[in-house]
Amino acid sequence: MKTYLGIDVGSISTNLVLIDEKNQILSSLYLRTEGDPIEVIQKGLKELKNYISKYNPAIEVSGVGTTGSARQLAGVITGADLVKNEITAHAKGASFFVPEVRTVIEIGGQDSKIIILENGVAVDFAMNLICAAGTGSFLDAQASRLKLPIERFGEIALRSDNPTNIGSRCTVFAESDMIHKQQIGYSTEDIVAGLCQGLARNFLNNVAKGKNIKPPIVFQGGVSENLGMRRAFKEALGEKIIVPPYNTVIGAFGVALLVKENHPQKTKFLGFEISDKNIKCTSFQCKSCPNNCEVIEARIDGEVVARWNDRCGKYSNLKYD
Amino acid sequence: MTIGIPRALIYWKRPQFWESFFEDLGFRVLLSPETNKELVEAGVRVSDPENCFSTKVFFGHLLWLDGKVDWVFVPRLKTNAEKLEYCPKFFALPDLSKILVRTPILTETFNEKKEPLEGTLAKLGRKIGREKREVKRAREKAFLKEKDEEREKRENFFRKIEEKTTKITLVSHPYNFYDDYVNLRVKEKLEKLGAQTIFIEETPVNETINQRSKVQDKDYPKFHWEFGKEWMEKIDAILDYNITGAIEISSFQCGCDAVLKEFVEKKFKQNSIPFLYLLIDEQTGEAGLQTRLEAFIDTLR
Amino acid sequence: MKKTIITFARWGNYTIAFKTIFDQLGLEVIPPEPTNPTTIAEGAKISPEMYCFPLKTTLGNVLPGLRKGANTVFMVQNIGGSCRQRYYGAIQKKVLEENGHQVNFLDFRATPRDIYRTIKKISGASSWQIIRAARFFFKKLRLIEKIEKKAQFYRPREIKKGTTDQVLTESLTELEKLNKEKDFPRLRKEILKSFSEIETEKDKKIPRVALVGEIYTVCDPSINFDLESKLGKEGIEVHREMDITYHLKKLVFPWKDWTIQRKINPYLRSTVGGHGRDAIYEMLHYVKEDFDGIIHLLPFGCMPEVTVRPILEKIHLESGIPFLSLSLDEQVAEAGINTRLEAFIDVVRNHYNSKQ
Repeated sequence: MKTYLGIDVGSISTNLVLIDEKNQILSSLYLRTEGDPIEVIQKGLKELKNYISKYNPAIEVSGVGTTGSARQLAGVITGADLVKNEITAHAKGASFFVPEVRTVIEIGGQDSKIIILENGVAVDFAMNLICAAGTGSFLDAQASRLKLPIERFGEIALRSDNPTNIGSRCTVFAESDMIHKQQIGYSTEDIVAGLCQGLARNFLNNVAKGKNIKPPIVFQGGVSENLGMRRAFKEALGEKIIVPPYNTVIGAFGVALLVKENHPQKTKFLGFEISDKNIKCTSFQCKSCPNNCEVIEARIDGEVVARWNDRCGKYSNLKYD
Repeated sequence: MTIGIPRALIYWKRPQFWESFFEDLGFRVLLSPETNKELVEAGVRVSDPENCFSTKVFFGHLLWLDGKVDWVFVPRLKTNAEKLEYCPKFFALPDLSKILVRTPILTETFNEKKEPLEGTLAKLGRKIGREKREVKRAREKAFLKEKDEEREKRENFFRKIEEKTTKITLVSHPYNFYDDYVNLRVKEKLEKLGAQTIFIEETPVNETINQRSKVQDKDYPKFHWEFGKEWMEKIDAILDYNITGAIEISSFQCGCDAVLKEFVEKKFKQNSIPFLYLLIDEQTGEAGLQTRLEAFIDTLR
Repeated sequence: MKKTIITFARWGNYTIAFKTIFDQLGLEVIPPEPTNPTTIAEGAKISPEMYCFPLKTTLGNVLPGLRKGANTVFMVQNIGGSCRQRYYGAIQKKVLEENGHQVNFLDFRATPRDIYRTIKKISGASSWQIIRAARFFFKKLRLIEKIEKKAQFYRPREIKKGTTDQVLTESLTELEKLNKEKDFPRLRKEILKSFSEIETEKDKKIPRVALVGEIYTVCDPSINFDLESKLGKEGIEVHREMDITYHLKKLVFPWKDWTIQRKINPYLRSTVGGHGRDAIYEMLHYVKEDFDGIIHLLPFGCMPEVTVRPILEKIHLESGIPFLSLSLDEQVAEAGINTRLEAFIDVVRNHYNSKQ
């Protein structure tokens, strides 16, 4: 049976999605990246292999696509047929479930984005520029300060009738503001709901600024699990918010769809064996020109398989086998 | 007919004047309310994220007036009577306002480098169907009011400077100083801590014998911004009085203040006057500000 | 008096032409360190935090030269008037002094007369020498701009990826080495020949994207993360009107300015400092020419460009042309820019395909 694998490697989570030719999701994995993308990809592939041998040994992988901030690295070590930016991948995933979608709000660990679509293709987009405010890690940081598990954040927020206003541009300032609000007697619910509202407002004011937000609006990414955030966006936009199935792994699903559409003649996938190999990634500074590029080098079992991140192509254009 | 004036940014360059001018010409004038949370949030929502806080506040006031008046008055301030430029962000305000509201924008370009104020006011009068003669009368009346106000400011200054308490000079733009929501009631906070606040703009320049700036070489560039020149001259002037400390308040992302701060700070430090720099925007917490003010006052004693 | 040793800030490939002036007049120059993350970080470290990005990068360029013994810095002053660039000299001098560098700042306005006077003062050269140096400068400058434009055309059409950038780099290296004006015509011919020898698919129909925005960020590849080359390699033809010649033309022929104002009147009826109005003018032009995308580049918080950005966004919404605005500063990471560019390229291709 022909299947297609999508891998989304972000800073917080790494997701793998395996689909068949009818776009049915056979398996989906949500793993914590924990600062080591190589290891997590290997771990994910191992789990996937176990799944396949257990349930359907007839499965063969006919194409692999990677996306997310470590898409290039993931592409190199898995031998991907397609390396695609996460904006296009997310747009693809959302428009599969909601074909008439006009706006996609995606908030992940360290990135957040808004995508405007027309007839199923992206026509405009924006991403948070420099800092973590407006992303999931903002909520993570506040949750740990309040000693609350992030998973319960949303349900706690829903209990509030009177959310308090908390400065949310910067995680550091938010903390002192939060302590202040606790002192003057706001309940935890109100503070948590205030944080959700702050994040939604920050997203709309900074990331989504000047974008033509039209319904249907789809909300996806890790943060879309949070019920408080769903409510905050619903109230801020005055529109229905649709959270699609597989909302947390939809980037990986999107890139799987994209690689399937590309139908590679013969996949470059290096096989599940790579999860047992020794993969190392290092970098060095090229001194051949004043650009001083930081060239990244990937080795599998000691063999150089790829180098990239050079501006002139001196290393990335070389052939490695 | 009602003319709306946003109570923000350029309004504070000439408070009283415009109200008096339009009222005397027989219009009803509607000022937007004093800045509040709602206005600020509305402004932040529609402004470019990289724009300065003061401009964002202005747009909030503008939106409040939308639909409530026949015109919103947004003058294009380019150069003043000394032929010095205003902040370049003022130059595009009428155009950016037009994008945001449906109510017609009443505007005229005030470029005294090219045209004296009288001429521009006459043109403005023609736009709203008023005779030259009427405009002249309204203008003179408005000027008189402005003069009264200035006299009062000066008397205030000398009264405050006589007092023996801790005297702190606040260096800032009028739209930060006079707007208590924007500056998080910094004056009130300082007064509670036992300090007297003197706004740099209140410092008289011509009447005092400005000794320091005469002996000293000017160690700052010749500013083409009206506020740049004014601040530096008035700082020179206020150094002749016995002030205890200085606080500069800037709105976040104010490009001009990034330039001026360097020279303002240098000037006070050279004269061994403690200096505190505060950045304000919609995210500034009152608690943090209070802490910094208290600590600053402690260092003065 | 101590001997004058000059250093100056880099500005993309134009640096080659600037250096020629000093070389021709026999002035001692320590060429600025190329802009890279290290120099940017060093400049940013000592600059006022709220100041705009080019102040920090140019400061980073001159610091190594000052350590190597330079004692004079050349810093041009924008005569566009209202923007902060006007005070670069004053601020940088102050910052350098605070950090223990005693420097002579040659802070001059970008008018032919002021430049002439400054150079005359520092070099003591005769008028004839200065005119000859200026002539050579202009020859190099024009050639640099010409081959940059050629590269924009060839990159998306080249058959072997990377050839154009290789030819461009080699040409610029040769041009930098050249210090005799009489050898210039020969080198020019060689350079143009090597460009015409690049194998390309001439008739290929491809999407076109225009770069608009602040002149320094738009013209310097080491500041804008090699944007033109990245777009080109992805099969997109890049257009850019903003360069030194454009700026000089506006100085010499004031009616160019009147045309710009007339064209943008429905959107903005005033100058806003810098090249704020030009971005609107160019964007309107490219919309009319049916381009497939506009990229707006600016230093983070740039006063003129931030002021006009809502207007550019309005044109984008009205016309439906894909639009990407990138604010650059020392905190922006290349990976983030790449993701946006890749996504934008997809948007541009969607737009281009929908027209076919």
